Amino acid sequence: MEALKTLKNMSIRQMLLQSLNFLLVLSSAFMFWKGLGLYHNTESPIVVVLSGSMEPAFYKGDILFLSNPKQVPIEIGDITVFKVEGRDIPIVHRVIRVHREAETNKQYLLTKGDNNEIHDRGLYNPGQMWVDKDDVVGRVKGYVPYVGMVTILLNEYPQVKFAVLGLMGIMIILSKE
Amino acid sequence: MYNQLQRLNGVATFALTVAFCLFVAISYVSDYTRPVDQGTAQVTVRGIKVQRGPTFPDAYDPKSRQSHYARLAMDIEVDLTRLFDWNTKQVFLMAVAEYATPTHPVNQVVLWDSIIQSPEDAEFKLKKYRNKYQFKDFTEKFGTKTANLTVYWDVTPYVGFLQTTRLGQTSQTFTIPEVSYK
Repeated sequence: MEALKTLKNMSIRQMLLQSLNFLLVLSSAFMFWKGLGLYHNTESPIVVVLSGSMEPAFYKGDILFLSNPKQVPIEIGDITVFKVEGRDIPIVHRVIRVHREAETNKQYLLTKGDNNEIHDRGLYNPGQMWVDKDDVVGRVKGYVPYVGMVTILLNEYPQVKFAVLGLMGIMIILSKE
Repeated sequence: MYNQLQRLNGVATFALTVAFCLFVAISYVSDYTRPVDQGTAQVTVRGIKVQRGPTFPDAYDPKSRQSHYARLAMDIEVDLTRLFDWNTKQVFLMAVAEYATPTHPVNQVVLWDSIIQSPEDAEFKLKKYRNKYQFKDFTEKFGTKTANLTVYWDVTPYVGFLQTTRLGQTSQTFTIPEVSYK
């Protein structure tokens, strides 16, 4: 109830200032994300591993840092994050075949998860034999274990997400400078 | 004064900052100190045969029946013990066939790979080992007669940067023969 009292004691000016603060936190996080993506030429510079198909290299809940330099071709053995057309969730797998066509200068890739027995053609769309370089979101450059477990928790239990977000909002609004 | 929540917040923020700085420091230090070039891995082609059609039916490749597949026997000799330091989680090792054809100047096909997780397993010899993955051209038939076999490895750390440059042993050139049996 102490919290309510502080809220009552605030002037409108103070309240506006606090909300501005809150928005600043949100927008700087967003800018950090976008800036990192711009620098590394990828739409999502940080991803969370969602499956065990790359074990023992990456486990569920690990965080990967991606980069996708335009001029550098994809090399054999690179761990790529790529999209399959019509599916939302990108896949993190290793490149086991690369063919570059002379005429179009296009790279054709075949991928496989380290923990899977065979290549990924079963995961691609029916009839699709290769992953295009344009489908690749990024190549894994850095790795931090476990930290992504938080996002998995937040996504699997939406209640937790709302609780955490609400708590954070209240704390930021009520905290004094 | 401070209430419990503020204290908790302070401690948590400090802990996170410390952990973050530690992660960054570990990443740079171990990337700099790891002896990535101190391993040896040699793969020698002992025999190669080309056949028409895959050994096992390939449901994903509609042209597999008339395609040419190469089957190899390789000697593999590996010693990557020195790549294991305090921040090495695994070493990914692969034997890659590389060749150029008129239509496709770059072709890289992994023939065999291995994940090494401890220094005890990092030294081994395999004799006349078959290729683990299909060796087949992008087109139906091999557009070349010669190819190179190179061994590459990269290190995955517990935390930090994945190895950005791929290291390999000098490659061996081998000949891809005509179809020998159907």
